[in-house]
Amino acid sequence: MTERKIIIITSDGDKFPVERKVAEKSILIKNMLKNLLPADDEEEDDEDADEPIEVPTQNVRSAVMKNILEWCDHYKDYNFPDDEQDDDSKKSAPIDAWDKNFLNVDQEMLYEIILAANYLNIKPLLNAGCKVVAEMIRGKSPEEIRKTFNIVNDFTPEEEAAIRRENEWAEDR
Amino acid sequence: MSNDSLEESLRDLTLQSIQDHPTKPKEQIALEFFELGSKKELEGSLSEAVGYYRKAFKLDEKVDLRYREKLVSSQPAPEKRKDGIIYDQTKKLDLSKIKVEPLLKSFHDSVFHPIDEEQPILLETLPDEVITNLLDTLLCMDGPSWLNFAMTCKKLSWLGFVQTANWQRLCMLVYPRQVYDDAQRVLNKVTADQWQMVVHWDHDWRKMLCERPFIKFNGLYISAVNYQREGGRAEFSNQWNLPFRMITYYRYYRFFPDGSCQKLLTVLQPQEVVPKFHRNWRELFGPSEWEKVYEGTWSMSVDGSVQCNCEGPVKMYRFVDEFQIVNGGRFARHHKLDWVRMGYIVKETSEEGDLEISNERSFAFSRVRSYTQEQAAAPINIHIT
Repeated sequence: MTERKIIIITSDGDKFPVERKVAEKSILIKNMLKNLLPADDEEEDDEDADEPIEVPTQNVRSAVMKNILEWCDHYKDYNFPDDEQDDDSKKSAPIDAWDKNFLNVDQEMLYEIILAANYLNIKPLLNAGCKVVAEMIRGKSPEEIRKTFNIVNDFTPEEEAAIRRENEWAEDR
Repeated sequence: MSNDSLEESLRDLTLQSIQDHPTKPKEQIALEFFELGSKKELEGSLSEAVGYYRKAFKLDEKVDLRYREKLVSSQPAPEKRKDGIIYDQTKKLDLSKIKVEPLLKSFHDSVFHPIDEEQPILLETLPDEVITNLLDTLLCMDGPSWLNFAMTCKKLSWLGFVQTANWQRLCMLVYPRQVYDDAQRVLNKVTADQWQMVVHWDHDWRKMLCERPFIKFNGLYISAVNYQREGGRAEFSNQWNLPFRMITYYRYYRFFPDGSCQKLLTVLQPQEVVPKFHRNWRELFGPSEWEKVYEGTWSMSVDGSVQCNCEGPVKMYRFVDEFQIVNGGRFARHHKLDWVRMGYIVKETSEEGDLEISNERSFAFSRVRSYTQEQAAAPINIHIT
């Protein structure tokens, strides 16, 4: 029995043939496939068994998808435990070296990867992306963060001081 | 010049050498004395502070005004912002009319505005749920980064302070690491399951964090004690009064989430103790009398009474310190440890006794950056086979 081919179609119409276990790193696609593919024991009777399954992803353009699939391929044999992804020790751990290198891309691409990881529901990649952005924030003052992210301070000085005073204590633990 | 070398260069100056100083006018030296005094005062070392202030005033009786001028001029110039608000950091702001909670809630529909209109705001491309994830990552990594990110603009303050998820995460980071005594677990049903605990605070995570005391681990607790003691006259002195000596000493406490703690009673100032007050203090501190760290255990109750049981200078005794976690004013929650009792237990007989605490001062918490990094989880490596 051969596995059915899966073809991911990007928003700009490019087609990426992938292994099932690579595609299933995306929980969105995994759930789609669950609905599209009949259960294993019925598969032999299926006439379309040789037909590839096409999965459209409207929100991801091909340059981004290429990166996403590279990540999925790297981790295809690794099982990310679902319940660990929101665990605080996972989130506070330094970013994995391979991920760090993988996400060493220009700013726009980084945000597009994060956005796509969120849309495709690839939590470990989303979290890795957030860690990269978090590293740009760490150790900076609010004014430095505003400059880094091109955000205007829209508080009045009184508002800013009062909000800080009210919440500052919570940063220590 | 760093403060320490400044201190050394000033300490031994005589009046004559100040008059004849080749490079500095005496007003400049007066100002330096004053600055040193103010630094010592901040550290709680009052007798040294008074000494430096006195020297400063002797050289220049208007030194306090000059110090103020220098301080004001070193502040950034008032900044005129795009929206026309002039931001003068030296002016005291009137915060009395601001109600923070409704204010933050009013930012519900706020959006990002760019500093540079030509450049994109990349954060804008991310949906709120992703920014929430980013805030959560910051919270887990490093508390101050979360605060500073949420303090940048209205939109991020709404996402960072109003949303329940942040406060729930903080509770999850804080309370499971607290060490409760057995009686608490049985009698008050303190459990590590925070979903059960938050029920007692109306299911409000922020309220629980505000009201339920906790010990902080990313720094240490310091108590600076000053008291006056009558000194002795020098032999053949014809002084008619007895000199007073101001004595300053410090107590340091550091707690760990595994129920251990360490304490130090010393004349050494925080900048000398902080870098060495680690688990491996034995390798870092010298053999000096002032560097004797004692180890022990701690536990607390749900309402914030803390009990520590440590070794001490007398081998036959265990030393018991009892504190109450209190707020430092309205805004520094769970910031201080007030003394409740200082006592000892004779190891062999279990006989107990009390020690005098009337001279003692509360401990205040102080964050230490290097302790925060130490606290962060060890890297988790993913192995791919």
